[in-house]
Amino acid sequence: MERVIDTMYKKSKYKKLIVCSILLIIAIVAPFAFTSEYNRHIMVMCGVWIIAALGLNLILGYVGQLNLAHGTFFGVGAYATALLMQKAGIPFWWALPLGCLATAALGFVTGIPTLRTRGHYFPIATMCLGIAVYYAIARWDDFTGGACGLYGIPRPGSISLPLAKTIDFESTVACYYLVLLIAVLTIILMLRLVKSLTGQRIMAVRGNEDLAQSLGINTMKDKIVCFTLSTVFAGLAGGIFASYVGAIMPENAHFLVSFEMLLYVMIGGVGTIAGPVIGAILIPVLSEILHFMGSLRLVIFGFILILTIQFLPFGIIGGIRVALLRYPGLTGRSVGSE
Amino acid sequence: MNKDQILSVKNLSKNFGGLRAIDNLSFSVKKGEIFSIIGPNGAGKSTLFNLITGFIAPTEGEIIFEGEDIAGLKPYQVARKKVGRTFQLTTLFFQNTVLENLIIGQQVTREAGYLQSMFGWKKRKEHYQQAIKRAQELAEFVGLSNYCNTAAALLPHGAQKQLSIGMVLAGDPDLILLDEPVGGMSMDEIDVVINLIKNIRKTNITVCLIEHKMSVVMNISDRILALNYGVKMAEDIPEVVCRNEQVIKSYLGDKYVVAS
Repeated sequence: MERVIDTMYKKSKYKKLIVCSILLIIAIVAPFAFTSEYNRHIMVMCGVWIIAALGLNLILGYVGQLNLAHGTFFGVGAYATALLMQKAGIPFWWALPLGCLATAALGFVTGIPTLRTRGHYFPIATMCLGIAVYYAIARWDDFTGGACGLYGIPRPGSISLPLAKTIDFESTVACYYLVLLIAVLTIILMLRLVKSLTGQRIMAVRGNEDLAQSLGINTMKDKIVCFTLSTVFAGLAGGIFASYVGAIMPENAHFLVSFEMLLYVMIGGVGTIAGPVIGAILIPVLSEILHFMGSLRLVIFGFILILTIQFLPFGIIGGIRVALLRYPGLTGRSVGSE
Repeated sequence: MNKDQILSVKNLSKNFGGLRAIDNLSFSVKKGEIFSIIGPNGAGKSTLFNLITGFIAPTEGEIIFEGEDIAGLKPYQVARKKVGRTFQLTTLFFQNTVLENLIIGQQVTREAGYLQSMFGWKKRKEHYQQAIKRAQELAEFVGLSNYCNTAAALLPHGAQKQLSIGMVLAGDPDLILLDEPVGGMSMDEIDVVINLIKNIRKTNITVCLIEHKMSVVMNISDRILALNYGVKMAEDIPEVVCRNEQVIKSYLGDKYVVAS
């Protein structure tokens, strides 16, 4: 019995490892295939969205709480990092973790009251928070630059390697590799968290909160920790965004950003790790391809979302999993092993 | 307090607005026994379980478990004191497999931290393997070793009840409260669960159960508590309770009471 599970587990793990390595190699060589600045810029942005979407996926997909302020936390991380760099003169490598810390502090403080609510009230409460923070940023002219935003945020400072080489981040390619590294680390951390006893526990909170409590799980603690953790990743993505683009506006903290991230997670596959990654690559790229249509492309995204929810409730990844279960020959795995 | 008592409830009351669901109730459960709670619908049996396990707070009274007042604690705190429970409507993590359910059940004894899960290496793996091993033992104990990788939602009803009992046992409880463990089962399935409960008692776990099937209750209980409208009618061995005038009256009506 034990051996059957073990070999099954190892076999699928082995295959997944190969697929992941191939994808990683593709990601590493991608900037040489797409040499135009425009394409490279989109690739950096995809990396930023992957980090943010994985954060949202933790609280939405694994703990089951729909956070509509995730875009706001992205904006808070961006502003915190930018302000620390511009007003306090702190270098990027210190400002980024401090910005994440500031975002986490806001997430922790707002999470305690809002996570006490159940059902629809949590999304409503977080959306209110998002709107409030947006107006605070947009109106606080002296501190945040108000509606004009902040300009001239420096790129990450260059780092010197032991072999007398320095890496500066003035080029888009260098920024791409930085974002790629952080995104890969985020994916690994999320995978490890989800595939652990803690991961089982937080999924229990999603499955049935009362039952989880009766089994000795402090559901409130897990919800607050995961919510705070998810805001850290939003802040991380925001900080990188601010430094990379060099300018931020209140619109980057608008609650509509949350809906964009929600789109990535929902279409890719909520409650999976690969899903948000796929969504955060596919949707921005599609959005750029359809740019000639103007705002009409938003209507198309609306249709895509409706079709996804109707036919693929767990997104692209969910659809692939169902297909693999229906045609087990594709992987050699037996039904029920999932 | 008597030393062989594991749970003792003293003057417990619960009001829902104007309704007194539990009225000044006192009883005690002895270590290692199978203690049944019976009563007609609406007698307050499930409310009593919810009070003991912290899902609702009592209006007044004490719930002493192992010498400690647990009244008013939160559900997860009660569970960590080693009191396990199942629910009347079978509740499981339906999307998860049997094995995963049994792993989640071990959270009381095996709470893993976030840092260990994200950055840990050797200990993390060790803990996970211990959890899997324990889950397999539990699956065997409750008779589900053939279903380890089946999603809980796909199990037959009887097996789901067995799994819910297995999940409670996963937390190494000293006392378990089973809410209608054989509700809606076929005769064969009932036999399996009765045997399971008898085996649980052998491992020194005290069992407290709510049941409507009198044949089961009279067969396995050491002592029985009979409730009606939140008031205690009787607390005694089965032979005495089933001859109690008030119990017969509340179950069958006045005319079945034989004048003694």
